[in-house]
Amino acid sequence: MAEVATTEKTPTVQEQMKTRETDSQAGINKIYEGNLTTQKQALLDAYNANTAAQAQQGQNIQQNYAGANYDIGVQNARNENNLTQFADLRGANTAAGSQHRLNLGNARARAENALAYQQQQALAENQRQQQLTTQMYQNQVDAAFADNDYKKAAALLDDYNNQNTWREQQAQILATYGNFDPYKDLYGNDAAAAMQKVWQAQNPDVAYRTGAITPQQYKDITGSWPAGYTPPSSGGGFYWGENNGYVPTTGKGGGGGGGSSTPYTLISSFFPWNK
Amino acid sequence: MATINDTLAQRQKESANQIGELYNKQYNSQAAQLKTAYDKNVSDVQAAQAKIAPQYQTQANQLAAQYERNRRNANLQAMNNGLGTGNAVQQQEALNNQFQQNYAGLRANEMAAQTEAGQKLVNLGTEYQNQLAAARSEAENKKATALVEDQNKQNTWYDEQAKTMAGFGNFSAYEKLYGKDAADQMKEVWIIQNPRVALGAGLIDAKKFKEITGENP
Repeated sequence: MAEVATTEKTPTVQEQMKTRETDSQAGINKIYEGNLTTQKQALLDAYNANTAAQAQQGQNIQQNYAGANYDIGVQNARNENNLTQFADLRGANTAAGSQHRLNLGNARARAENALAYQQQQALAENQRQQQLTTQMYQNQVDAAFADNDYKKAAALLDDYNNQNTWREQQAQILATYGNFDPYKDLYGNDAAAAMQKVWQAQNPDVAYRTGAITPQQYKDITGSWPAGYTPPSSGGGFYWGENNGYVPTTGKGGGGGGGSSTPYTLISSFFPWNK
Repeated sequence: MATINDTLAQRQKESANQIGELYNKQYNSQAAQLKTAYDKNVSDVQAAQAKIAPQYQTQANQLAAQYERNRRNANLQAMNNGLGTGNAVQQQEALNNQFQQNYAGLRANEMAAQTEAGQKLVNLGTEYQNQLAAARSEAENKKATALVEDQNKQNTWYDEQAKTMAGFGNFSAYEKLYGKDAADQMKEVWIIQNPRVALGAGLIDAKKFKEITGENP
């Protein structure tokens, strides 16, 4: 099976520099994602502990009131018994006895009702506290989200500004090596090209040897041909060394004539950054 | 052999771990302080709560004893005064009603006190748990800020190392920043500007040196 050749595009300087920004933003997003996850877990732990405590308080209320109710009932039964004995000893008639039991029953019911009402109030309050806890938890989670969003946005904004500063600094560094590609993004192609021309004029040797300018351009800048280069008028089409990076398009060693306007083609495989 | 990029990765990892550890310690310290305060508060409320039942039992006993005294006195008075059966029973009922009312009131108050103490404990727990969550949140926020700052510091460090290395003709760090083509170009410029150093460092051979300088080494 024949292999399919894949052509991988080399990233430009700007694209490569963009990875710093992308990595930085991804880092910030990850940091604040972790931050939110931990905060949410902390709030959930608190919520679970709080609701469990409140549920326990509800059970305690039920238990305590049941105990009190039982106690009142026991006390009441004891009193009823005493009173019934008293009435019997005093020879109270049937009607008086019935009235007497009715009165005792009423007294007991009043006591029990009062206690039951108070218990219901306590349980209602407990229920209200549980609802408040749930509401508070939801509010805290919402606040944590909002706070996290805000802090992340602030960090990303800072980072955006830092990246702009960083790009400017890197553009300056690259410019000292004759690479003005980042300045294209900052100032536009024309301005970057003009800056590059200035740099080449200031550094003709380096510019020539890195293949950024032709021998003719070198001569235009310095007034003389590059060292080691034999101009066309004195032999024609000769190129300096083997690593100059330029060959006459009319062919290497084409001989004679040519003149100073001989077009040169960059051997891009040697200077890939000038493709 | 470690490269600058390996070193950066190692620095980032170690730094992130140290930051994480620092703010975990800060949280643990705060959590310990909160726990101490919480335990003391709970202990105070529990001590007060433990007194409720005995206090009310004492009052209940006093109430019952008083009722018994009143009942006996009323009975004696009724006999001495020759009170009729109906009236005597009514008198006893009245005393019983009063006692029942008082006794139930006492128990209700006790229950209210117990409920209040229980609620205080719940509130202390809620407050403690919320403080723990807030401490965690504070530590996490500080950690996030520190991690973002550290990310910037590491980037600045890397840029400085790239510059230092470039001064010695090593553009491998710049390759990560600008790509291979740009780094190669920078290296070529550096070699052209420093042919003798490049030759001495073995970055170029004699032929290349001659191409650049027009002279033999």
